[in-house]
Amino acid sequence: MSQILSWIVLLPALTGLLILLLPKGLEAKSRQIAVIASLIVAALALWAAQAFDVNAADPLHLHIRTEWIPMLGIHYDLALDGMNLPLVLLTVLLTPLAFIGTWNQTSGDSTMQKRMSALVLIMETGALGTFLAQDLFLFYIFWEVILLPAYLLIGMYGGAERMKTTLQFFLYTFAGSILMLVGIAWLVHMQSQTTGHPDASFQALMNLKIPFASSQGPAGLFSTQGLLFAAFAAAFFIKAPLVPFHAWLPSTYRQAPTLVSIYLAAILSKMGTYGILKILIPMFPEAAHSFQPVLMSLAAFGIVYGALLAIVQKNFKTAVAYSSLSHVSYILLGLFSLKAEGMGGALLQMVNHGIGIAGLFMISGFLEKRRGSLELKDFGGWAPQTPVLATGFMVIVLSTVALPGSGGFVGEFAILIASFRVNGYITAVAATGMVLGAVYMLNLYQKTMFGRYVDDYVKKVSDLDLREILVLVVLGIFIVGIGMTPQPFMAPSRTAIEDSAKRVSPDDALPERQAVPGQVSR
Amino acid sequence: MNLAALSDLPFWILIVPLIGFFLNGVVIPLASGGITKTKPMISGGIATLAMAVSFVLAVIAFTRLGGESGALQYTGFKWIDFGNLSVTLNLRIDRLSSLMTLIITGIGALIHFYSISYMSHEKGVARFFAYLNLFCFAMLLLVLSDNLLFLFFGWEGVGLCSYLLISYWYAEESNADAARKAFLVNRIGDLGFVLGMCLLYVQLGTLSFAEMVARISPTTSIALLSLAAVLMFFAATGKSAQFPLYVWLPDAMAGPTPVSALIHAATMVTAGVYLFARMYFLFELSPELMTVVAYTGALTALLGGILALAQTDIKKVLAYSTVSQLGFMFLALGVGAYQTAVFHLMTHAFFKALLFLGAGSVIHGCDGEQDMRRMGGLAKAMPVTYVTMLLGSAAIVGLPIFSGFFSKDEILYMALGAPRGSWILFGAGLLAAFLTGVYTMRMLTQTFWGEAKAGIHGHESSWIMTLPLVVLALLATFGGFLGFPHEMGHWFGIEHSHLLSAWLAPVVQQVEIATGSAPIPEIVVSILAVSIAIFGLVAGKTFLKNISFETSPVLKRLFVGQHFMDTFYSSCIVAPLYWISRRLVQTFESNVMNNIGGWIGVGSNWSGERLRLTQSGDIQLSMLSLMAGLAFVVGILIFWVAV
Repeated sequence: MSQILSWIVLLPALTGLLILLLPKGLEAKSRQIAVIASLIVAALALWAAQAFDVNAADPLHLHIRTEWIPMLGIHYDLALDGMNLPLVLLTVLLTPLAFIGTWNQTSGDSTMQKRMSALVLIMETGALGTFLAQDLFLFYIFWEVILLPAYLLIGMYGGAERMKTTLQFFLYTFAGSILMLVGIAWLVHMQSQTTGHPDASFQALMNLKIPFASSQGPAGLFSTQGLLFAAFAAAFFIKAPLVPFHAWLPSTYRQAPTLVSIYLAAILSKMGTYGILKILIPMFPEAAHSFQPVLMSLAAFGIVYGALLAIVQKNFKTAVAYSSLSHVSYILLGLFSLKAEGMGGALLQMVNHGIGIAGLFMISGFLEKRRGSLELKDFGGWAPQTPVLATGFMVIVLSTVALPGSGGFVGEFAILIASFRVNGYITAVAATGMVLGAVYMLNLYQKTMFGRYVDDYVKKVSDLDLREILVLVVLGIFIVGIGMTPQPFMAPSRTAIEDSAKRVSPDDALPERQAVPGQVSR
Repeated sequence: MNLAALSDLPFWILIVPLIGFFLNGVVIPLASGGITKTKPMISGGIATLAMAVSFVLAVIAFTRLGGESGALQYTGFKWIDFGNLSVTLNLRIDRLSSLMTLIITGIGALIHFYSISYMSHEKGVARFFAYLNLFCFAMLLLVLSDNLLFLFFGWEGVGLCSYLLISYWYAEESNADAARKAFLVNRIGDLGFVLGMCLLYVQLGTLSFAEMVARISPTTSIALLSLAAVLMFFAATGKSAQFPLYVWLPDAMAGPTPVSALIHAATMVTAGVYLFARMYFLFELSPELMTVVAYTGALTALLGGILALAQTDIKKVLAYSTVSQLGFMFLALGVGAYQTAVFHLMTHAFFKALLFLGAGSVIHGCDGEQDMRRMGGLAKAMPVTYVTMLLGSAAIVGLPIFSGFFSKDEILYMALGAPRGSWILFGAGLLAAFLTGVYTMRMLTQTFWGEAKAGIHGHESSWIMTLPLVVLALLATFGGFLGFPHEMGHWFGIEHSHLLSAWLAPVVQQVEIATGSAPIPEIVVSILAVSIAIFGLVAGKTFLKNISFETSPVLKRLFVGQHFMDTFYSSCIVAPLYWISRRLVQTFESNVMNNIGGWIGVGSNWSGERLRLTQSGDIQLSMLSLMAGLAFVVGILIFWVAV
């Protein structure tokens, strides 16, 4: 089973292609096949995760490396490491849940089911490949695998404005991708010039010394490292997104079918934040340092901006979309703090946000299915009719507002501590997200669940069925589990992130903590 | 601190209510076939049992506390350890925590018991009792945590339970609004908590109380620690309903009355006082801040008293009375009398829980009526409730031998005699004590005395409700003797007559008043306070009996219903926030943002137009062209790298 990572990465896409080839008579079974395939992938990934050992000398586990295009130094290079482990597990967990949770919403015609299942599975391959790749070109290829299925899914099965939306989404992401591709080519070219033999693997590229203008400010941007930083940043900031690169997000999340919204917000946006953690910061440390004030300010601004816009939305799904913008900005704030605990908190927050936003979009799907609308004015007074839905929704709300005891709090706390160490004022602005986040989440909850109902349809609304309950229970277990005992979830990434943080902030320790013996046991 | 004995007791005290929550939240609803079919006797019985067990354990823990600074320590687990961030979950019962634990579990158990009858007409009581148990768990975590982070867990946890219980009858939009207001106002305060916590961690590298004390050295920045103290005080004004963040508490009365008694009188709202008592070492670094705290407390005590006079709803009278009494506690904290504040916290827990439960009994007996103007003459119909309420009133007003007498007099004495005390603080305290007499007497007069009003006859509640009243009445009457003043104790030849002070001395600081340094001796303060309280009672009975703020347009506008602070917040904070948000949506987001991508925006509009021309689902074609473009770019780049 030395190829287990290949299986994990390729199995979803292979199943997806198989589903596309299903004859008409078997189309109805496509969702079952998709769920089974994604569960097998999840089982394989869990098995692979067993091989992970924090104390291993080699940080790359289950490493597969074969030459692919030697002339360009490109390898087929996959490995599990501390940074991608949480995101791989998030992806393999959420994929089957997304299928199961939206089961009844894609019940239209069987051809649609077939295409959606297949394309989502192909996206899973793209996401897993992006996370597991240890070669920059391979990373790029998997990154691009996502684009086409997402484009098609929104274009074919989105809401009323799907054509405009999907094109906007495509062009935005594509523009980022192209810039990243230029960056990759430049970087590998430099590497090949320096060492004489091209190698696009992360490890090789990490050792590259990239010239950077030492002065602060704009001059840095136009040095080699600054430009490379910008090229990669374009792709990652658009994907995540960082305000003001978010214009594609609200309409895309709103127009996409629930299954796709879940996938975009919970998993695909993590590709952007993961890219920042894995590539942008460790490869261009001086640039990251130099741009830190701007980036942190933008992230803090994004937290407030997204939250303010979410407050006044009249549509459930748009409000959730803006809430996602606000919460992803927290992740970015943690990353840009360039402190180990901030980046670790950000990585954990990627998982939390994935779980939380998946839950919110699922709820949105549950509401839409039962009401046929997502306008808030059509809701109210559901809680007595649907106590299970109300309870599940509340748990997700609590994680979203980062109540202590939920996963959301752990990440935000670590991020705020790290950010505070860099700049107290920016942190104070960012922390207002705590209040604003509670404003819009409690609004959403109250307007749907509490109060008197607007008309008699509520009496006919049914509570969650077993499939839907199953999904929320699994999400709820992770929310509370991470919130109560975060350390097991964070420990695997500790070594990798602390090493990475050392590249950017070499002597970083609180004065008192240096004195504690045995603190950093390496 | 060095004498801490390892023990599992703190863990079990904490976890038993959580088990109760789990049983009522999950097991019972599943076993009864739906939450609406749960029985009050079973759900309430389990919840009460959980609290009773917890109380017994708390008593055992209390008896095991020995030595000067003895404590029971439960070593938990490493909660987080990453980079420079490391926090371990430990629980610890020292003398202060022990007192708080006894109050929470003891009064908690009584209120749970009372609720069995009070909530017996409700459908789906399991939800109520589950929340109530969860609240007790969070409150216990707040007082048992040995570090600031898990105190914050409890701090926000009690806020959540408060939200869930205020909105318990969520079919009324106004209840849901009240709950949201409570949560959000508290969240604003908690913003201060989080930032203060960040600041403390960055400065001291720890959040454990014991380590924080040890690490405050001459090299640490007093200015930054003072800033942390300011932020923590801000958090406390939210949770403990001080000016200017008290506005959520009166609205919180939308919840069931036992909730008001437990959460919004006896326990949760005193969390801010506990925070000060626990972290006096931080607050004492900034005397200027403490002066502000004292004046805030005095102002709150006065304002609460005035607003209590303006109410017609019996629960709202008690709510503002709570605001006022919490003000007294902060006044004590501000002058450095931390033990006195804790003393008043305790006696207040007794008499205010009693008054709320009594009010609940009245409301129950009047079939849900809360407006005092429609009540009257209930003394005969509800004798037990009446007598216990009388005792509770005597305690809150501070008549001699009743519990409030000892604690309030001590506060007044401290307000005058302590180095940070002043005649202004003392005068404000006296005035607030006068107002206490007036609004209490007004409440008694309107509900229990006089003629019965048409339609409201009232009937005495069942023994399940009256038994807790009797127990609390005994505590409210005699509880004050735990704090018998030393000075007067000497007359009877008793050393250390102030048992509470002696108990708390090793863990909680108390300002010393040197003999003769106070302008007037404590006995004179007592006489003054009692006279003014009696004057208040008489005033409330005679010429202020029918006081109504509604006759004067100005007073009505300022103090009745949505009073001036509510108006201030809604017009100066909420409205601008929404205005900005709407503006952002209409202008910035829709115009600027959608075009900021430069050519991307243009391109997207342009291609959008193009696509519309050929829009017949012809996605393949456009995808094909895009893919071709991609292939072209990739080809060029590969060529460039390879050469």
